Amino acid sequence: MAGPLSLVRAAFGDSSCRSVADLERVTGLPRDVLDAALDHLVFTGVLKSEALASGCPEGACGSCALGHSCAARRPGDVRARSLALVHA
Amino acid sequence: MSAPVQAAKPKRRLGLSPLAPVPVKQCCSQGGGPMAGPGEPIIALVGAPNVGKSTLFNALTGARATMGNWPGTTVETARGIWRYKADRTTCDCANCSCEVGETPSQATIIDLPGAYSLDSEQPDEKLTRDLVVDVPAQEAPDLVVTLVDAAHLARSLFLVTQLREQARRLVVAVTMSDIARRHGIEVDTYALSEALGVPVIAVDPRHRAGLDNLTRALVETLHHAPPSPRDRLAGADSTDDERFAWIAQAVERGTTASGVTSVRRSDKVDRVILHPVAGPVIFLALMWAVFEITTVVAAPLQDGLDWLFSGPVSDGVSAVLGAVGLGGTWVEGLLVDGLIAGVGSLLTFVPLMALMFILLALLEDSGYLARAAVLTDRVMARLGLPGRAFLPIVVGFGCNVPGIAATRALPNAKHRLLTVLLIPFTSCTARLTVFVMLGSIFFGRWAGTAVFLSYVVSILLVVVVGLLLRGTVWRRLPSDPLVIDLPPYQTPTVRLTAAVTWVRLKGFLQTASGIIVATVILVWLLQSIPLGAGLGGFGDVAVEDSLYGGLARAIAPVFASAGFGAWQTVAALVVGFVAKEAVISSWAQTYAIAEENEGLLGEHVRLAFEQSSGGHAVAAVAAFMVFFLAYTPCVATLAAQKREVGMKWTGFGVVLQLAVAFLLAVVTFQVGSHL
Repeated sequence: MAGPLSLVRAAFGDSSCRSVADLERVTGLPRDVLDAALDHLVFTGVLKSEALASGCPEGACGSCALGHSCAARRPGDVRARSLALVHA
Repeated sequence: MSAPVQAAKPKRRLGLSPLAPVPVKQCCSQGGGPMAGPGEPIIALVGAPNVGKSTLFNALTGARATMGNWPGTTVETARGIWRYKADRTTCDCANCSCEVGETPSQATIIDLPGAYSLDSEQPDEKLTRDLVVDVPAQEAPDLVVTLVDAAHLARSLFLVTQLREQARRLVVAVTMSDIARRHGIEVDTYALSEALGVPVIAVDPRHRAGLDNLTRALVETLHHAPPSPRDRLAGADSTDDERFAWIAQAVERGTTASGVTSVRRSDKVDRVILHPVAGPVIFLALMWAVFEITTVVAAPLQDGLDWLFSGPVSDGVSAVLGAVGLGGTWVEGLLVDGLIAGVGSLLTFVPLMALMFILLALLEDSGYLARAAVLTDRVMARLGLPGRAFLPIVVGFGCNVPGIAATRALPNAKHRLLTVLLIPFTSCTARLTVFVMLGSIFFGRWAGTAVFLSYVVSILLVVVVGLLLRGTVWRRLPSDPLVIDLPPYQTPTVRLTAAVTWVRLKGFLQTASGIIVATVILVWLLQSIPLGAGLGGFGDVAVEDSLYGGLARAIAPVFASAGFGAWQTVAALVVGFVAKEAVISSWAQTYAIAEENEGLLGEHVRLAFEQSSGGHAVAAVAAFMVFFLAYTPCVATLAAQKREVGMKWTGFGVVLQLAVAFLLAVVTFQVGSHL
C-alpha cells in the first residue's frame, strides 16, 4: 500500500499533473490530506515551493516598476505557488 | 477503573522544576504561584500556531497566568491554574461508580509554543518535543490536549499521529469548526474519536463553547490509564508515509463534506479557464481586452497631458527664462527641449500605465494571473522547455532584470543559462510605452490590438528561440516536473488593487525621474555638440549636424532593408539600449529642437517612417516594433545577465538578440511592403 506521500511523489512524475487539482485527480486523495502532504513534503525538503507573482522580490531591482509589488500584498494573502521535486 | 493519576506519582515534575518560570504575581491567593499543588495534574496544551491554543488557555485559566521564557531557551510559555468543578455533577455517565468526586479541582495548564510536528529542530517545536515526548515518564505532563484546526484537519493531525505513537493521555480539541463549515467540511467528533482512539471534543474558546464537554473529557481521561499506542499500518514506504495514511483514514472517517466550497467552485471554473483549448483562447481574449481598454480609455488623458507639457508648461518656462535673460540660451535648450520635452513626453503615459496596472492588479488579485501561469507552463512543457523556467519568464514580463535574478532558483545550470538567454525576449513594461505610442500613431482605434499582438509575438519569440536553442546548443536537458498550487478565486479588494497599482506606478515614475533624466541630459549634450566647424556653436546646432545626428546617420543605412532607416528612428533605437522608455524621450528631444518644430510628435514620427519606407509606413513600423521587441532590452538587463552567466554568454545573448531582431524586422518589412 502506497501512502499519501508516496502517491504525491509519484504523481510529480506524471506529465499530466500540472496543478494541485490534477494531483487530486491522480492520487485520489482528499484535498485536505493532499494539501497537508504537500506542505509536509515542502517542510521536509522533498519539494521546493516558490511563490508565484508577476512582481519580483522587494529590492531585486531598484529601477523596476514592479520591484516592490510583493511588499504591497495584504498579510495572510493566499499566494499561488509552484511546487517542484528537489529529489527526483 | 484505574486509580486517579496523582496517587502514585512522585513529587514533581514539569511545573515544579527549579528551572521552570517562577511566577511573579499571584492573582487568586496570597501564597504560592499559579501552580496547582503537588500531586495535582499538569496538562499541556499543544497544537499548531494560530489554532486557538492561547485563547483556550486564557478561557480555562482566566487571569491566573504567568508568561515567561522557558529556562535555557528564548521560547515563551504560559502557565496557569485551571479550577474546575470535578464533583459527581460533572459526570453524566449512567450508573457511574467512579470516584470522580475525589479528583483534584484544579490543575496546572502549560501553554506550549505552536508546533506542527515533533520533528523540527526549531526552538519552539523542539521545546514541545522535549517537554512532552523526550521527558522521563515521571516528569511528563499527565495529559496532553492537542488542538486541531477543523478547517485544516489533516495538517493538524500530524502532531496527533506522532503523539499517539506513545502511551499517553491525550484529548483532541477541535477548533475553527465554524470556518470549516463555511468551507463545506463537517467534523464528526464521535467518528473522529473512534478513528484516533482518544476523546475528541469540539470547542470554541472565543465564545467559551464546548468547555463543559472538554472539562468532562479531561477529568475522565485523567482517571483512566493512558491508551495504548496506535496500531501501525502496513505497507507504507516510510514512517511519515504511514502517518499520512493513518491521517487519511482518520479524516475520511471523521469528516463529511457538505455543500459547495470555494475551492470546489474554483476547481469548476478552472476546468474552463485551464482547458487546453479554451484556456489559451480566454487568456488571449482577456489580455486583448486589457490593452484595448487601456489604450481607448487613457487616450484622451494622454492627449491632455501632451498638450499641457508641450503648451503651457514649455511656454511658461520659456517665458520665465526669457524674463531672466536666459531665453534662447543653452539653458532653455536643456530645460525646454531637453527635460520638458523628453521627460514630459514620458509622463504623458502615466494615466495609461496606471490603468494598465489597475487592470493587471485586478486579474492578479482575483487569482486569474496564476492560472495564466499554468497555461504558460503547460505550453512550455509541451514544447519540451523546462517547466520551472516559466517562473522567471513570467517575472520578465514585468521587468527583465528581476526575471534574470529569479533564474538563480533553477537548480540546473543549463536551464538557468537557457532561461537567462530567453528572458530578454519577454516584453517588459518599459517597452509597453513605446508600443502604445506607435500603436496610437499608426493604428488608430486598433492601437490596443497592435499592442496585444506585440505581446503575442513576444511569447512566440520566447518559444521559438527556446526551441531553436534546444535544437542546437542544448539537445539534452533534464526534465523538471512542476506542479502549481492555485488559491481559490477571490473578489479583488480596492485596498490591495490601489496599493499594487501605486507601487508599480511609483516605480515607473522613479525610472522617469532617474535614469531617463540622465539619458535625456546625455542626449541633449550629444545634440548640442556640432559635428564640425561652421555648423553652429554649442547648443545652437541643428540636430542632424550634431554629434548625435552624425552618429545616427552613420548607422541608419543598416536598417534601410527593414524600412526604418531614418536617422531619427535609428538614433532613438540606439538610445533605447540605455532604457526602453528613453526611445520616446529621445524622439521628443529630436523633434522639439528640429527646424520643422511645428506639429505633434506623432506626426514627425509618422513622416520619418513614411520617408524611410518608401510609403510603406505600416510595414516599416511593424518591422520596427518587432526589432524593438527582440533587441537588447537595456543596460541594466545586460548587467544582470553578466552577473548571472558571465561575459561570454552575455555577449552571445546580445548577438543572438540583434540577429533575431534584425532578421525578423527585415522579413516583416519585406513581406509587409509587398502585401
